[in-house]
Amino acid sequence: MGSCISNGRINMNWAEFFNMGGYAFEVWTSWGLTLLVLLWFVIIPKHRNARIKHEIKRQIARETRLENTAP
Amino acid sequence: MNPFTSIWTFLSTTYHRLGSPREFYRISRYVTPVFGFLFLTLSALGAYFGLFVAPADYQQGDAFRILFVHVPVAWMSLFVYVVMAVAGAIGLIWRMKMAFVVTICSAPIGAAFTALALLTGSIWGKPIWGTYWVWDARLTSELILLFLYFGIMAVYYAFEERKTAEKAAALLSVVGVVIVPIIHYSVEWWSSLHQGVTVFAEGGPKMPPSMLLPLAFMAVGFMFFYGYALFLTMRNRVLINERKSKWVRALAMGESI
Repeated sequence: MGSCISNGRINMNWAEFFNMGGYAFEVWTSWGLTLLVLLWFVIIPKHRNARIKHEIKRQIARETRLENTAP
Repeated sequence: MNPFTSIWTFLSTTYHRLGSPREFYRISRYVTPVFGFLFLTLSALGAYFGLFVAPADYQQGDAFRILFVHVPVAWMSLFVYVVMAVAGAIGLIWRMKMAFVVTICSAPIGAAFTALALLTGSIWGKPIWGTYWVWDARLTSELILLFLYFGIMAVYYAFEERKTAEKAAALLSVVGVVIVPIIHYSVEWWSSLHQGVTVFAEGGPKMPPSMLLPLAFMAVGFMFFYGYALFLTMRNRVLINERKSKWVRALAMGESI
């Protein structure tokens, strides 16, 4: 990795880093959009898993109620 | 028992276990977080080397750092399609339940990767090509891929009966696989603004190691992301498909399976 570090990028400050040589908008929008989409595909299914189990539980409760009230 | 018989027994039990929704749900509980962990580690390394270590490109300056997300998502848009179509074919030929689940659950993830490839490419195109969009072969064929993913999802949700819906979606995904080589070779067959094949070029990658290393980390990391997101959605799909079965009902009541 020596050849990669020798260009002086290691000495840059945070303002330079976020500025991305004038391409801040392009670079950060691309990376940000990608991050958002990836997060979406993790958060939504995890929420959904809990909701599905909850729904099935309610369905079972409804069925037992019906069985108990039936003559 | 001779070794061949035991290998055969192992393969056939693995096949049957993977084919069973209940076994998938049980095993995926342990495999899914491993995929998530590998994705996080590899993409964090990729982001570090790509944003902090790799020197700016001599032509594009720092704009080239879009490459580390654009290229992996574009590769994944094709990779997911191939997995989806192969699973669709397996489902149609061997009537394997879980293969259809792979096809159905891959479609939205593939569509997201395709949309990201188009969006990040467009953002990158503006400063470098001077335009967000051109109707050239690479961009147009990638847009068709996005519509194919949408089509497969629409076909699945259009049918009331699940088995018909699964077969129709699988069939469309198998027929549509022709788009994959068209996209890959589009930059060679037609003249294009888009850069040609660079990493898998004849005679090795035409890229310095400082660029290739973060790209490799990101690409492999995104593959694990696909596995992670796929298993998360497949687990939900299995619960919905098998909601009437005893084991899912027991699971919903808090019992372990």
